[in-house]
Amino acid sequence: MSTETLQATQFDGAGAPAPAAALAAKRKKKGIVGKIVGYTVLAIYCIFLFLPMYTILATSFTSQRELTSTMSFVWWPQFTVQPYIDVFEQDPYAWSNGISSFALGFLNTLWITLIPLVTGLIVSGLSAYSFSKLEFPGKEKLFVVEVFVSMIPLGAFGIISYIFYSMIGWTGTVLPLIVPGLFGSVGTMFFLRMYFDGVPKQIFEAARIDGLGQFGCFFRMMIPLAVPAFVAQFIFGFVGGYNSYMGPLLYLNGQDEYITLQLFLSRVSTVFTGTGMENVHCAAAVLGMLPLIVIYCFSQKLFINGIAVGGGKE
Amino acid sequence: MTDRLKTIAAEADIPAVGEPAAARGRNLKKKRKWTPQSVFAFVLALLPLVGFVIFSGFTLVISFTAMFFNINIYDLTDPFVWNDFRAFWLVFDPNYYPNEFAINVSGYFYKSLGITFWIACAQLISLSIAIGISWLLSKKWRGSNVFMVLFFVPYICSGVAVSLMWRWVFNGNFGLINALFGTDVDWLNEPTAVPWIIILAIVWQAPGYGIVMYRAAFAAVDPTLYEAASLDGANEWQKFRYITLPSISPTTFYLLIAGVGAGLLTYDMAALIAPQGWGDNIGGPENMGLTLMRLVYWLIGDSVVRTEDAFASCASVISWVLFLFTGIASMILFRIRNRRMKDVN
Repeated sequence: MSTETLQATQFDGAGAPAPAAALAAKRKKKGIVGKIVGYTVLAIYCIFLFLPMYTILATSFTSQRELTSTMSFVWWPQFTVQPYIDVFEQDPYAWSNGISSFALGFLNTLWITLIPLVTGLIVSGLSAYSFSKLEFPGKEKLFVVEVFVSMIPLGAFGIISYIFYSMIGWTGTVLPLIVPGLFGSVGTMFFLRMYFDGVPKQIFEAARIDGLGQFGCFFRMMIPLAVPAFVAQFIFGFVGGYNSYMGPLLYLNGQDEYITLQLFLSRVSTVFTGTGMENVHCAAAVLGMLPLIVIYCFSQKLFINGIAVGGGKE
Repeated sequence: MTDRLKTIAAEADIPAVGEPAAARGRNLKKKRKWTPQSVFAFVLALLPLVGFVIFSGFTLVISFTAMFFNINIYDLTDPFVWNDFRAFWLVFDPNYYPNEFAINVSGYFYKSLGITFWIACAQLISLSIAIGISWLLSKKWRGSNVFMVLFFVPYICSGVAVSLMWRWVFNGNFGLINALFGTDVDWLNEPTAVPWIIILAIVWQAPGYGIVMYRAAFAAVDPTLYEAASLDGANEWQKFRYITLPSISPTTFYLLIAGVGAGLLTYDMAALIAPQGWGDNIGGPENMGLTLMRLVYWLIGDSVVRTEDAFASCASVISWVLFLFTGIASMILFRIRNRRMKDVN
């Protein structure tokens, strides 16, 4: 086939008009069918994801009376926000603590998560900065050791570490949840180092000559330059800390003053007892999920990228 | 494992984009010496390792010791007593029944082993869903970005809230399932249903992560391959099977390793969907929600471990077994991946 005929078939179909047109029509038809099937699958998956969410949302707006009188799932409740008020007001511990358990749990979660997260990020960052931009003997060897260490799957020891913390007398306090995080993590260091390596070394040398110290270089140059990397790590850590349940359950020994949000949620059925109080349980669950979902709505890109790179740092 | 180490170390040594090779060579030639500055840099670099050695290192040492010695975890002044491998017998031998133990640890162990295995296998379902959905999203139809944003929502919900949600869906009186299908079953107290509810809750939550991770992988597939395959007359399925799947396999292996690891360590969902019941039902109805992590948690729990120090030893043994499982699972997957990569090359 000469070039001329090839061009003809491709561009105006003069070479073989009928088969080409039929093929295109067939493909188009097939494409539409495929699209319909594809959208149906996506829609079914959406229903699978959001129907359960709708059930707690619907119940959280159902009044206790409606719940007890129907004794069945209420699809379209007579709208009431009373369950949300009850989360704060019907809480039996609110009197002794002076603050409702939900609010206390939320505040505790914030500081228990943020202190080790922020400190750990800075420490991991300093370590990554040292690996990336500073010199010391045996740097490559130390790096290999740290990477090796970070690959040991230690999750299995998450609970048995209780023995260690119990021996040093830290159980029943927040220390096991906070202190290990202060040292940063090798995984975060590894991830940040990859990012830092992309920043040319010369600008730091220039800054050093102009009289900026190493800490100055890190805090005033590296952190601003690597904001996306830090934000990604921060979001990954924050979502993990906000949602963590096993650690607080294990170490806090049920101390009421340290109750975290997830611990509170796990106890709603014992905190709000009585028939038809399920609407309050659902309201508490919705309230617990709400902060992250609201933040997510306004910064989906950051979240998605944060989780993707934060999780893939290994 | 060592292969992977080498590749990671090699990757770390690749000069950054834009950095001239000459600069790199100069750095290598420069002799490194111990000066105040380099000591300072060394200390900074060491910090994460210090945290690891203190907290994980001691945990490893103590839990290892605890396998062979009776340790009173509430009183350090008690001497460690050699336990004659009793913890191993208690965990592994169903016929080992010393009189003083009213608790049949090995019975619980084998039960939870099976359930943990099924929950870990359920990760394959999450993975398949993630691949399928990402494949549809990769077609860049109208609204695919909106779908991805929506599909990621479950992943940021806490395990506790998700468990509460599914407990509500399967609630015997008010549940959606009974309302939809007109049944009247108390699902949460139905032993055969419990593991499925846990798996359903996990499968509800987990794919969001995979979908996000696959987005980049699907985008990175070379489009010329698809064009070439179309010219050769390949249909959609063949393109998916012979082009897409092999191209995304690094992400698949990563997700599989992470997923199976997480599945083996399931705690939150199981503990909250099937909470401890009365008597022997420490893992929900007929222990059908008992995972290995829950068993460890229960064994070192206040009420149990105070009755007999050996239970802390049993918990250590089970933790190390779990550690071996997670290690072996990721090693097997690395093997398969390496072999596959050799085949491709």
